[in-house]
Amino acid sequence: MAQRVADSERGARKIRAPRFAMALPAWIWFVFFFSIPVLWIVYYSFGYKPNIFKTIATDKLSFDRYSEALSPEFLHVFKQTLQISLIGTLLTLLIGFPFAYWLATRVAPRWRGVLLGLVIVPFFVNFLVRTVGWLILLAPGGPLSTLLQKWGIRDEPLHLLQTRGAVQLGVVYNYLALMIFPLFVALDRLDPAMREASKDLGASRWKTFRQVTLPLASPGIVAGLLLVFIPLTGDYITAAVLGGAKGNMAGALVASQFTTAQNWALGAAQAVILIIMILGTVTVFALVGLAIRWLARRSRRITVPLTVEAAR
Amino acid sequence: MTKKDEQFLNILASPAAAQRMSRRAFVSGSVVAAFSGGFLLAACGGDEETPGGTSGATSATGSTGAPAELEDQLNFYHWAEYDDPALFKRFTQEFGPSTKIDVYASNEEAIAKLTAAAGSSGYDIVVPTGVFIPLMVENDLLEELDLSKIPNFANIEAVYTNQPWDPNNVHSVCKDWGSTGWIIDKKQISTPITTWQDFIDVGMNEASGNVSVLDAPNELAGLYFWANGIDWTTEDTADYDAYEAFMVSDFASHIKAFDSYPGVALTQGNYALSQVWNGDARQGLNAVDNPDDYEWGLGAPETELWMDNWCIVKGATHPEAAHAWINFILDPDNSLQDLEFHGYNTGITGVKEAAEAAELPFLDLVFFDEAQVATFRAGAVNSSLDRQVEIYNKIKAAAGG
Repeated sequence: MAQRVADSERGARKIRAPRFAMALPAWIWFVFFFSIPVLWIVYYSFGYKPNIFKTIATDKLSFDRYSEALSPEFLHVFKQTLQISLIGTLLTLLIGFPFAYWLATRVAPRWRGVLLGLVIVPFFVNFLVRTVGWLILLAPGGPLSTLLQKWGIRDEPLHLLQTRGAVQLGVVYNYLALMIFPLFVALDRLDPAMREASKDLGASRWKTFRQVTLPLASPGIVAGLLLVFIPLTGDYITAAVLGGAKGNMAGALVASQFTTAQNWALGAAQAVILIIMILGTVTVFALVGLAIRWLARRSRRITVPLTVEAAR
Repeated sequence: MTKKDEQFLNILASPAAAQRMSRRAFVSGSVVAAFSGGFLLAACGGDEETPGGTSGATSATGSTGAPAELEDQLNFYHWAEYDDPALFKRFTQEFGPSTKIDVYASNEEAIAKLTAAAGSSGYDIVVPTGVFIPLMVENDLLEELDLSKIPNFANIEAVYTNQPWDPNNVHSVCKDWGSTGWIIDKKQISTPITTWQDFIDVGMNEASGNVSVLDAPNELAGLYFWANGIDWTTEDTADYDAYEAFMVSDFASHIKAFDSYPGVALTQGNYALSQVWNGDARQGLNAVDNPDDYEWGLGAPETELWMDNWCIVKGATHPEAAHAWINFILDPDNSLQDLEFHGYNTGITGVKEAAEAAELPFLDLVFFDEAQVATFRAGAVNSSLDRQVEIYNKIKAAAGG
């Protein structure tokens, strides 16, 4: 009897909890709110805009929207977007890494939480509001411009707003924290004993950094690069608020096709191109990264027997 | 009442629109916030005389000053910075419905969005430019107005009623009308500008990289056509080819921004030269400390004539409140207060005299003389509309280069 109860319990448990059940909500979410809409966008990108009162028609499918989206005027915006996002991602890494390193290795553990909290503080303010804040700060008649003129650093008002530079500055500001977090986590997990061991074995600081810290932090760096690069490339708020005519980005282009021009087919085609551009860039950099790692390992493999021989 | 009064308004806006909306709101230190309707004064709604409420023309349901019968909300789909926020507040206090505003930058944008929503947009009031109304009616985007609920309609000067695009005001009543010109920052520009051609020349030289144009497809086309002596209602594709070629290859690279409200941004000193609507220019001159540094010029030799109109959106869920608002805003005192804010002629009988008596500043930007009005040209919504939008998008993309 007891045996049978135990059996049936085990059986019931098996039925009640298939292994994928825990992931089911996420799957449903992704399929319905990600995959299907994206496929829909791809489908729409083959349509056209029949007239001012209709946003989309799909009775005739063609690649025409793609050739439109890749016309020189629009292509230029895609190139510019890639430039802004690559520079922006690199800048967040260059600014974020020293900070994360300092936070993880030089700051007393009890202060780390506080400092990390300070990095999060801007996130309590809406993205758009933060960006509009820069609009006021950078305006030719704004506080920064006034101060620079007062101190005699500049003779005339600051004309940074509505330039590519303003967008570059805005995206670095808006995405810096997304770089710092994964970097900090990776560097924080790094056992200080590793660096000490490296030092004890005679490695210089630079060599320790290059051969111990950096490889061990690389998952964090890759996560940070992806976390920043992907949303940054698709960002349109920063460009729409700070960019003016010059700092246009592909995200803003897509948004303006959907909202202002209401040409959903062209907007969809531009969105698809943007997605392909992001995937392509990530793939290229991933391949380059893998190649570098392979080369680095190979070069290390050669040095080992040499040192062994020298030791003899 | 001055603009310094605390203004609370609930605003839903796209990022681009929010930028325009919030510039001044932020600079003046007031934070965008919600005010929920009529919680204080709705109970004693009868004590302020309801505008026009004494008229026997009101319907049997008796809309006369009875806030209880109005819905509790009113949603505007509106141009930015287009009514005195204090008036929205007063409307809520007197009649009850709280107001929400969502903004658009061009008629094309508004029409496309309303069409996409097919009667379920949630908006009650929209303010299209007159020439767009016939197409909107044809596509079933507008409700008919019940003029018996708008007794203050009688306050509008006859010349501004019964317009060609809406005979007998079945779907619309005049909100205000105005024109397009430019505003120059004299600290940065020394060349005098007297025509649209000058505007283009200076824009490509002295003001290069520092010029803003309206973020609207038709006025952008107008800029070129007015400068070149072409009727801006042209449907000739050759005209549009020339416009596209010039703007995309020659002019676009000199544009700093596509901004429908450069006047509002005047305090920030972003542009040396801007294409601007007269009321927006006036708002800017009112806001800056040194208006003498700037110069307004009315477009020449020809320029735009537009009239924006109060309309009720098809499928509006708060029609009573919408009618009450239109009636409220057509009250002469409210109209004058609104004019003081937005700087456009509201077409209400006696509003010019009242504005002069009140010694409002910069009235030459609000009221135009006969010689000026003779150069005004109403636009048209015709077969070239799609082409206009298409070229406008190309210019925008090209301007990034």
